[in-house]
Amino acid sequence: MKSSVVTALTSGVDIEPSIQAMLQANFSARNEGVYEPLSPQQMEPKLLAFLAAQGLAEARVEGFKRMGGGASKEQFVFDLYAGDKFVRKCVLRMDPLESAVVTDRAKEFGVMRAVVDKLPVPPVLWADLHGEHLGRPALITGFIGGVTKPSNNAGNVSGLGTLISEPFRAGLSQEFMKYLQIMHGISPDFDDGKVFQLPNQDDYQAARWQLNWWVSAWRDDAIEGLPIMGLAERWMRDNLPKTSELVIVHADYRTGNYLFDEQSQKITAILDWELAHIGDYHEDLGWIACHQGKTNDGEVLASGLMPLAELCSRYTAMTGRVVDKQALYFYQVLSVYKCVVICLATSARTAGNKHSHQDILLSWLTAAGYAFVDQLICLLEEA
Amino acid sequence: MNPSTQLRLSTMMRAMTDIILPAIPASESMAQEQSQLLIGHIAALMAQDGRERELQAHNAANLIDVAKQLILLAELEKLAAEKLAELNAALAGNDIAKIAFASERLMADCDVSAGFKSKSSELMINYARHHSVVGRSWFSPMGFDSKPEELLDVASLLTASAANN
Repeated sequence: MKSSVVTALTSGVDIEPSIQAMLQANFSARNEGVYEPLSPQQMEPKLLAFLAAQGLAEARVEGFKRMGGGASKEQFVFDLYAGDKFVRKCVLRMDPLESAVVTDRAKEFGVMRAVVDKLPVPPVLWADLHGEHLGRPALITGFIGGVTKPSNNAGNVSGLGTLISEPFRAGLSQEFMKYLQIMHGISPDFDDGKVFQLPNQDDYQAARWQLNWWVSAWRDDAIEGLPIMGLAERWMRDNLPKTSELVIVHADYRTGNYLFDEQSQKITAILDWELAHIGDYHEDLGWIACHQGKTNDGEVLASGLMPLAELCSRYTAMTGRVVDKQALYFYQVLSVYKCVVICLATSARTAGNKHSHQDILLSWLTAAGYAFVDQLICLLEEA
Repeated sequence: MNPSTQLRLSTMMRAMTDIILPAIPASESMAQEQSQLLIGHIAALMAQDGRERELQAHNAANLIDVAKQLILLAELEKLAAEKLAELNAALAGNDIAKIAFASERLMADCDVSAGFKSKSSELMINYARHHSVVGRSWFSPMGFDSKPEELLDVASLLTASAANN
């Protein structure tokens, strides 16, 4: 293939134009050579030059080092000084050539700026959206402390399948639902369509845009064909739901993507906004549901926090929105489909291309794909 | 062959756990994580015991079988003619990668009869269930599976497969 399959779609009708451009740009990056991550020592002078260009007088950086975790972006942490004065602890998030999932720093930057007054989000301080200064597209945010799971929790390095231990469940569930309600209450036309286009031309457009995005990612990246993915695509095209109300969809809202304070059991930061878009509120519910934690009694908890029925009833009680079973089911299928795309296609291809600093994690994540395929089979069988 | 693959893997494991990982400062969190992933990959390779080709042959035989059944179902579908021709060509060439992609594209086609949809769904769900158990079993040492009771160890999996064939 010379170009992404997404180029065959009608821009603005069947796919969000910025997503179409992003997927095509990523497709073109495939021909690049091996990605060579820079060491903290190599990065630091670039960072200082960038900060100077932002007008930060006498910028100085201490303790600049790599952070662990994360399958997609390179992350560094540092203490920022202006001369001798400590400014704040910061995080630099930077794109490798490719990663587990293709995303756009302009979208991440735009949505975080839009929600920062209403939600606990790391403040976005500076952006190098095209990598002119830092070599690759990057954001610098404030550092916020907290943990992604209780310190006594076991878990996989990927954060998949995390079950929040019982003493933390009630408190974190309340926080989790509260912020979901607030996020879905923010006006979706916050940037006048500059970065986020609204799927409001017909009732099915929100679902169609998402389906076409992820089918394109699968078809561009899959190394091996999987007939069950064809069946899933056919089922979703035959069962596209109407969207009654558009909201800001985080699209990766789950345990593992928020930080909390273990003492107070309060969420301190909601992370990983890179997949955010405007869409159907059922989409976040479907994504939360497909990240399952299982108790010793065999009970399946959405995002390791609460049963799916409770998630839906609490959402309705808090927002007044009806959870439509068919729409939710569609987004559950789409969510699991996305997980298969991320694991079996994009992660495997990126690692094979040597295009990430986390190739070893990506090849590890690839293996999780078969567990998601099993989930997909169960959903399609029930459908 | 001496040294065997198992011996080489076990020595890599020992080097990682006893010498290399302890030498990485706790402050280097990504290096620590990647070392632990390396240990995990080595452990999985040891459990898989060099049998990837046998597994590939098992999967290929099942794929060819299901593709032939899919063709029988699709031959009555005039609208799927082009995709059917692709699958037939892939089968004729015994090209496993093309058979998989052609089967997937044929399954994705919405412009087919309700009868074909129903029958092909049943066929593919049965095939996919076995294929996913094989994949999950193969990668079970990596600890992602929430239903490990459904899985077989690799030796049993391939022994059962050989008996069936």
